[in-house]
Amino acid sequence: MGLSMKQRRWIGAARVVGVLVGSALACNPASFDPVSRLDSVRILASRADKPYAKPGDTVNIDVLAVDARPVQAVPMRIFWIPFTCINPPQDLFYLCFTALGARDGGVVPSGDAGVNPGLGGLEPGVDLTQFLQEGPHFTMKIPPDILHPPTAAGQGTDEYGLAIAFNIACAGHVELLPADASNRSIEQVPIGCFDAQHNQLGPDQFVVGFTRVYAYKTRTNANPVLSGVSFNGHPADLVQGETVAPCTAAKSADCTKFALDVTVDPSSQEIDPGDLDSSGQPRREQIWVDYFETDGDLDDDARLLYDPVQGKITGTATNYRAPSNTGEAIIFSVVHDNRGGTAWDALHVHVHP
Amino acid sequence: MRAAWTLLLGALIALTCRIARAQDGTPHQDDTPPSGQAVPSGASGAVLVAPKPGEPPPPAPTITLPVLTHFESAAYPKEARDAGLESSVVLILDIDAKGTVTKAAVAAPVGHGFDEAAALAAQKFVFDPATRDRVPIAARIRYQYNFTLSPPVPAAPPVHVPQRTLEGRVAATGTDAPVAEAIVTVRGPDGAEHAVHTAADGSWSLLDLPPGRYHVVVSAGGFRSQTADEDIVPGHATQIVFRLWAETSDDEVTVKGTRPPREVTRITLDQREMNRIPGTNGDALRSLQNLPGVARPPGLAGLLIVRGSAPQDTQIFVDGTPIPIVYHFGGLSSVVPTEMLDRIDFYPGNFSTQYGRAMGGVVDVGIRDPKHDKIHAFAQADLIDVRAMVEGPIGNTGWDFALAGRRSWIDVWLKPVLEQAGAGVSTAPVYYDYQALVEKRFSKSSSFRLLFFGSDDQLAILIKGVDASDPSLGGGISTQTGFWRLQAQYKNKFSADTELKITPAFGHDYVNFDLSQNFLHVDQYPLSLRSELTQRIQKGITFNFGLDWLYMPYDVSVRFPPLPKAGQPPGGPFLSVPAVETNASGAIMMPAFYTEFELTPWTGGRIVPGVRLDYASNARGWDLAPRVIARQDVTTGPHRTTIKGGVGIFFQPPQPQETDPVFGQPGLHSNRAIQYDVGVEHEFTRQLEASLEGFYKQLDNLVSNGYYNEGKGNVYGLETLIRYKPDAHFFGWVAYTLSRSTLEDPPDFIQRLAHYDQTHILTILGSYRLGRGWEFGARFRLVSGSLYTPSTYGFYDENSSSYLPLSQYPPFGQRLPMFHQLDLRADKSWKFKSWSLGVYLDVQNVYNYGNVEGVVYNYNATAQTYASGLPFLPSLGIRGEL
Repeated sequence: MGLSMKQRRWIGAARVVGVLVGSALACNPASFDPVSRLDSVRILASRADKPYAKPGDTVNIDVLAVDARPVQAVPMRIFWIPFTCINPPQDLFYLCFTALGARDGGVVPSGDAGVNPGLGGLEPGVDLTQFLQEGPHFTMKIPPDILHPPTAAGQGTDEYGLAIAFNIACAGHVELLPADASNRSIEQVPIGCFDAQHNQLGPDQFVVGFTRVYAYKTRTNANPVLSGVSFNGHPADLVQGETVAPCTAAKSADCTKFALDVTVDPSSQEIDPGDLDSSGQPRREQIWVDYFETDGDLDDDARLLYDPVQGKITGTATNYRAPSNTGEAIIFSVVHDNRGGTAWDALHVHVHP
Repeated sequence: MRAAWTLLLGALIALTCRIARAQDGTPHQDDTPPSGQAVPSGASGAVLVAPKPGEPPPPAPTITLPVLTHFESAAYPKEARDAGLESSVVLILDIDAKGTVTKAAVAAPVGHGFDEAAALAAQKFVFDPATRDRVPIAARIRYQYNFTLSPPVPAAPPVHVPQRTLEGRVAATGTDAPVAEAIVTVRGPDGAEHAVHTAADGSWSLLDLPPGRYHVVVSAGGFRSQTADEDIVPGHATQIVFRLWAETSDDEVTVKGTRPPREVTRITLDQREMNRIPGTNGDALRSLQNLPGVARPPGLAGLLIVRGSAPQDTQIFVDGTPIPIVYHFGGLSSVVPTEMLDRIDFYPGNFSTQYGRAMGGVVDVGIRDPKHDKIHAFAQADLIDVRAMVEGPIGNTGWDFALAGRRSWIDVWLKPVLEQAGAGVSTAPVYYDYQALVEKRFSKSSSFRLLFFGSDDQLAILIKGVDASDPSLGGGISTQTGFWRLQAQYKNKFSADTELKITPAFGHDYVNFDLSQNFLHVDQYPLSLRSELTQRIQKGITFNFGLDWLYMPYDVSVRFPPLPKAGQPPGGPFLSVPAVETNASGAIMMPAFYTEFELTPWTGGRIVPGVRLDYASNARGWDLAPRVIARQDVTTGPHRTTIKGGVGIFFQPPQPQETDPVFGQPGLHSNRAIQYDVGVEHEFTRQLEASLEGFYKQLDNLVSNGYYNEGKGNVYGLETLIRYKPDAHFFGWVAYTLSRSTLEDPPDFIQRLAHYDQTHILTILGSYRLGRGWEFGARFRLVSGSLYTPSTYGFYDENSSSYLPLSQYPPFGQRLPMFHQLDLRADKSWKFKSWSLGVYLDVQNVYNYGNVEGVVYNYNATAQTYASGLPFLPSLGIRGEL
């Protein structure tokens, strides 16, 4: 009798992690732009005022989207699909779209949007703007009966519900897409972004995002408290911004490094009742920060701040290197906890000699 | 070429006429008195006609001499009797392929009527004809007919035809070349010794030995002596094949009397082949990856993929006891060191009923006996690990022992390298394994062994720079996998017909995997008992009955997001779905019984029907698996051709967690495979052989997540192996596999390629001894690229700030570019009076080709590039041995 398939699978996953780590250390085979580089239409995060809601709550959501295209012939617009997907099968977000076209079956109108117009019956090629909600804010109503027993029969997991909202950042308008016949996956993006001539726009001008809000009877979660950003060893001035000289070195690696870090209050690392250690004691959240910049270079895309086992991590700073050109840059710091809590700040960097 | 001439010359020498001893008086065992008046006696020899000049020498054949089965007494010439004369007449006898004497000519007349009388009698002799490669042939022999006067005896005893009671062949291990002039010494139960030299074809025989147990010692110049104990029973000719190791062989490995296969295909690697294959660092179990039917594992995966089956479908045994893993982290080395191995038996499919619970292949590793002449030791170090071993007798207690251990030391030298490179992670995996063995041989036929062995792999790191695509992959990550086994083994060959082997074992398997707040902790405590009774019922019928029993208590603690069902892509980062936790304890009982008949109903034919009955408590059902294989030698000898085939049913019970109520599906049944094999083997020379085998596996009742046992599939292909077995200088082979492995997943049952499908697998390798301790080897591999699942631009998960690319379905729909790689190895050894020293350089990917091991996407899967595998990688090793 050997190890089970799943044991081997997880061992395989561990090995993959090891290989990935090793590969990352040995050499980076790709010369891709990092995820932190902003030069297109991007959604960075969304923030719910109640990351863990209760049945019947109203939840307000803000989205952080950035149009970092060098040329913005058509401005970026933010749309929301005006329905909230409730408890999709197995919590799989992409299964919401099978319900979206059916008007019922797990889809409820958002907030006070009134009548749910649905998407059923619409054909590809139709501008969906009139059916969508536009703007950076969205309100969802958590149904009173959203709670259900854990679908996977997990032991020790409280009853919960899941509400999912979808938004779109698009430098044009939104249309339905025909199904991709070459891909039989049930996971497909059903909508696309099109210009006025109905030409589909590429990923640099279009993002479909979603945010989840879990509902529990008693569990709560607060957004992490991002109390400040430090830049070059001192608290950054988030109002006036920071000024740095452009890099004159031939290689970015030789540029002056400015230490970049965030300050997250230790109280942000809340106890997670759903994460029990081997002795049955609840552990605390994982908290990390994602960085994004519109110009310059960052050593890291993300840094761990609090670990469920290790607690607060020391040495969390990364480095920022200025671009060679003068101008304005923005560094976004987005802090997440692993239960949907989010906070962010933006630091303007003036690149002048 | 020179070897062939040497063999032919040896055959000529051995077949030269031997003069029989003439006597007057008590009949000699070989000299049966034909009458009361005279005691004519004789012995025969044979001569072969040498090839004509210019003719190419034939390959060394297997030749047996004519054996006299009917002796005709000559009338003693009256003239000679009256004159009191005795004499010997040398006759030249022509014997046809039926054993009839067609001509009896007097070589040197002696007169007095002896010549005519001898010739007349010899015309009535009857022989078992001579054979070449077991084919009867005509022969000319020289026969000396002795005329001696003897006192009258009261009554004429019956004519006694000498019977072969103990016979066999002596050959060199690996090459199977016959060893001529080896001395076979036999000591009987009465203490009497008999000795005989082997003929040029390595054959030997002893006639008319009384029944009992005999101790046989074989010695030959340039080879290590070998012993065996055999029983002689009335009416049976006991056959023993000895394969001797050359004195210069690197390691002592005893391979004696290889039992005929109970499987369609069994590939057994020679020790030198295991040690010297380039690119394996001399690791025996890694050498398996060069055999036909075995796919190339993905880079650093450390998997054994047999005939397109998933790695978990292949079972690994150590002397019949299953172990959970075969390779250390990344496949860098195997968990049982080469130095402990006696043999590796690899069955790519249609294996015997003694093995079960697997749909793929079987690897059974044999641990060798400790050396018992004196204390031996060795130590070895290379860039990957260091290892040491000591073995020998424990005083005069009759017990022998062996102790061995190995630890990787990548962490020692890699850490400063990583730190100097400014890497954020400076921890490397650590692995070790250990073996301890004591053995007592109660007699030549019974022994007891206690073996304790285990393995452990660990990696623990804290990643501060979390993966932006899945932050759960950051933070604390640790993995530990390992096992240990305490195995006892008792073997007793009660008689020539009855043998018993019992192997109980107990152990612990563990997996601890922590990934941020997710974890998998598994502890299993397998208690196994394997027992087999082999009974020869009569000539040509051997019966095997076995018990293969496994009881496994387990403790499982898992916290992970639930896995998607078949056909469903992942749901996003681990943190995006609430984790499910389960803590379970239980036990799984898997008893199995099997029977098997080994039938040899006719010459060269072998049929092995068998049946296996398995029970798995987590599947709550019995599985009956009948199997049969058949082999038939079409021709024998050095040009042996064998056709073979087999069909059988193979069950693999669901894994414990597949029936777990939280992560699995209670109510599952066993996976099933029906395997068909047909093939042919041919020996061109004693060194060169080739095989071609076709196989088909029909898979059904496959466990499919969310759909119980509705999965199905099939695997089919062709395997070829052209192998030059080791001789004094060279070994090598060309292995090619053409195969296709497909699966059909519910609910839509779209046929797709299985994850580990590889269409073409070509391996060419060879190693040549130059002399003076130098040996060079090379390996070249050309393999179809691995399959992967393409990703495309998808959604953005705002809770984790990560993109979720879309996965193509069906999965594994694209293939990476073809893999090819050349590896070289050089060995140099020095032998001193009491110890030896060896160094080797094993260079992988000599021409530094950037083989593709995967596809790397950018953060939103809008751009992609290939991830290449191992670069040019030299590994230098040193080894000292006492």
